[in-house]
Amino acid sequence: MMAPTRGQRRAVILLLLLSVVLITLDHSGEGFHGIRGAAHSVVDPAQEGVTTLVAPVGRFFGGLGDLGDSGRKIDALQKENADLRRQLRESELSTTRSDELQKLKLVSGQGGFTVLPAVVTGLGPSIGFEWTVTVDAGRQDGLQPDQTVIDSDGLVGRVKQVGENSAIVVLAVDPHSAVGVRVVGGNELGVAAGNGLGPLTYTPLDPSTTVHVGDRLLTGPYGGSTYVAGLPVGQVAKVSGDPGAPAREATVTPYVSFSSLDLVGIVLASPRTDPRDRLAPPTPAPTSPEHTP
Amino acid sequence: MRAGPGAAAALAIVVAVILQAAVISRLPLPGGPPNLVLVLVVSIGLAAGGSAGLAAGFGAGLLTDVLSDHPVGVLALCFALAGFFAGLLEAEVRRSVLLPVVVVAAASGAVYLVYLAIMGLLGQTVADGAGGVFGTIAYDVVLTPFVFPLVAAVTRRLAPARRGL
Repeated sequence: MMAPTRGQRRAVILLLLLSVVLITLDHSGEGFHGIRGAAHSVVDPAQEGVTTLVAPVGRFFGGLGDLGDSGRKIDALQKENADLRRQLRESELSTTRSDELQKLKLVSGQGGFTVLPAVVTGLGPSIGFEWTVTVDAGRQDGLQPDQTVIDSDGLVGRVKQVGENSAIVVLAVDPHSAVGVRVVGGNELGVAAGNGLGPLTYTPLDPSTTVHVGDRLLTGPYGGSTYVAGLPVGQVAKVSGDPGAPAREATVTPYVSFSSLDLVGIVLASPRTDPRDRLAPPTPAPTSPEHTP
Repeated sequence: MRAGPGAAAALAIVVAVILQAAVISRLPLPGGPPNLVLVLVVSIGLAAGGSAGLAAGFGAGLLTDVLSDHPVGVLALCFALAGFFAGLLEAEVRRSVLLPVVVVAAASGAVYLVYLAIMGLLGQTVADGAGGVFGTIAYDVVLTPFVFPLVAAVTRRLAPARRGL
């Protein structure tokens, strides 16, 4: 280290004393308002100019600071976007299919879930082996695989593949489809399996359960089914073997007319609570001919 | 010291003070903000010697003081000392590349402590508390490799024949 020269030592002491004097003067209220004001009036315009120049940079760094916040914002905006698309779609559809749309909205309102309306645009390519339909809503509308699909009568199926603007829905009547179901007014669980375009086959999990003709079936509660709970599935039309005796199997007429699907709804958000029997259709069996093709 | 290096130093200080106020202090960095002015003062001291560091520190500190809320003279005192002591190490700086970084780190910490001490003596509270000092030291260390070589190069260019003051 270089030893300070005499002149340097003197300068240091002088400036230190000057600093102390300045501090004391300013602190005791004598004030440097004039000097401060003058300095600000000189420097502030330059400072302002620099700030204007670098404002985008500042914003960028500011943005880095709340990346997490941006993430939340993006989530919220995406959700809002999906909502708006749904509303737009509803308003488009309401001109052509207002009745079906109203019924669908009624059902979703009763069940407490959010439904995206979609129109069936085609049957699956390999119909006969696989019972699927194509709908005109896709990833852009918020669809994800395994979402439940309904129409105003009840369970239609579930989303299998999601494309950008379309999706393939496996129908509940698909031979590989098995829906966990529950009898209205009871807690007995069973499985309703598809048989192609025909009645479903209901098998109670507990073989000692008595199945009655006219029993109404809803999708089973959470955990018992991949589907949203409490959706109407169908009504028992025929019980194999001795009526009244414990049954192994029963034939179930689905509520939904799978041969004439048009407007369906994809359940985007399921209710927090099981709607239980709220959506169960009235006791009389749907007897219109299209339900028993 | 001739007018050339002095004018360059003054210009650099004014620019640094404006940048510090307009840009650096607003960066939402964790910890305290980097102190570009102090890094500049220490660099001037290391490159041009004790007298230059003393003068640059006092001037830069005074300008910062006038533009700040605290009593005028506090940072003038701190920066003048920092520039002066850095200047005493002028001869050493050619031996080690790390020296400027170490000196800047020490100066950042020391200036902060002296500042806190003076404000404490005056009975004024400091908004930040002591939490930001490590961030400031770290950022100053990061700034040093950019600022010091520049200052050293300019000093060599403007005062090539300088042999101590």
